[in-house]
Amino acid sequence: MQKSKHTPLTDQIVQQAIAWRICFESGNAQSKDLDEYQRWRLADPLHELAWQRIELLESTFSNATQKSASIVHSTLQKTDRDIQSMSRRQALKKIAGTTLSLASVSWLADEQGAWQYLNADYATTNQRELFTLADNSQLWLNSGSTVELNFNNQNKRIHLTRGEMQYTGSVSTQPLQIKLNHGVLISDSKQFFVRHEDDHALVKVMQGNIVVQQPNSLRTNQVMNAGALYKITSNSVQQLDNHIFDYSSWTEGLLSVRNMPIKHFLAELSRYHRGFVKCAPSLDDYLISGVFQLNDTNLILTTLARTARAKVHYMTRWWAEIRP
Amino acid sequence: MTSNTANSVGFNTLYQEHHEWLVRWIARRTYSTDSAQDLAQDTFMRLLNKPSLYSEIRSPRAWLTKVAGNLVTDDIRRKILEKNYVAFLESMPETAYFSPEEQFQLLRLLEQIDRLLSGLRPIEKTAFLMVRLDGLSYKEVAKQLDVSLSSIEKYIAKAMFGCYTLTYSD
Repeated sequence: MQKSKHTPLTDQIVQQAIAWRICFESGNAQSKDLDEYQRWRLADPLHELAWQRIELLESTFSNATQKSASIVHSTLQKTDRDIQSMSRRQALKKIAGTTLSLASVSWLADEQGAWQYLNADYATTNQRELFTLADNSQLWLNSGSTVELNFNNQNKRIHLTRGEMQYTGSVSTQPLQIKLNHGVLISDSKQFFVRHEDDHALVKVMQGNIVVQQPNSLRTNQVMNAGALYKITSNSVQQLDNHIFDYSSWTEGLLSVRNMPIKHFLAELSRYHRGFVKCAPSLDDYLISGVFQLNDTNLILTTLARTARAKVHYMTRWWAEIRP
Repeated sequence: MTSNTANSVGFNTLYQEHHEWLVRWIARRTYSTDSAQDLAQDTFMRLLNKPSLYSEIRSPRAWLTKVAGNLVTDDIRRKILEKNYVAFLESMPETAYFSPEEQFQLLRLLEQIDRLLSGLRPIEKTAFLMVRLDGLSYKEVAKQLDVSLSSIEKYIAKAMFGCYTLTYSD
């Protein structure tokens, strides 16, 4: 609503109008109340004005009810809960002495994120970053990622708790263990990639071998070979098609895909794009191929749209839709 | 000097002295320089509309960071609201057939409602939404929230007064 120059009304008059409204809404009104209300309303043009304004405000809500009360109510409630949990985490962050700001995790906000960030030895929020570890190996973390490290004389352990990483080993001879939700990887690999998801992990081995140890699996010590892509769940290790999407090209600032459905591509892009992207259902399975630069995701959207003979519509600065 | 000239001199001085600093202050907290530019502009716009403030502000940076901090919080809240809206849109049957324009208008409506209800305690907001959106009677809401009917009347009154103030002040 525009804030034009309105006739000012005193709080008292406004509250009287509200009180009358509530009187009739609460279900307790008597017939004498109706008489008194009508007298009040006629007594002063400002009373009438107050009443009209209160009615007008209500139309906003009846508008919402007509369209979809449940989505309005659910969205408001979920937003309140998200804000509350973020405020709690701010308090936690102060205690832990970290410097992550409220806004930096807003796109990635979820309940569990807080604990991973608090416990992380290395973490990223909005940007990917390359870290050099104590043994001179190199660890790439994509945005929104956290790892905990345990390096001592006997062992080197990396626990990927969130997001994804690419590890490039140095000449050290110590075996490396990577702890995931659904198993432990024992690696003599010089280079590999791991992605953490709640219910599975993806592993791509670039050089060397990795053995998977899983407490729940009947098969022990499965070997994952160089050049292949694997999906690890609580009770299985499956090989996936390695040619559709390059899971580690982000380390070079690129997204590289071949014949990937646009909806999957957008899911991958969402990690890098600030804002939300929706795609018209008719385009969902359109296959995308190409190598894209990650430094300009809006340009990627434009290119995608063009190849699908569609356009990018920006509903707001943060909400893009690809449709014909 | 007329008061208008004095005011515009005051504003320009403040802007020159503090604008860059404010952009950096916001950028550090939001990890983003482009939204920091926008938010800094919005902060100064607030000042532009209140010429009487220039002489009253004792510590410009304290005032600026307070206003900017609120704008950052509002901005974050709007983004989360939009994120949640988009997620719910996909999962609710009744909105699955909305045209893009309808989806957009409903988002604007949502933002408006969210702004109108800011400043309410959770129970006040819940009671109000149960009456206005879910169409429950005051008695039913009182029963579900386990409070008295007069409490519900107080919550609704507060919510309505809040909506009025946000719409008609200034």
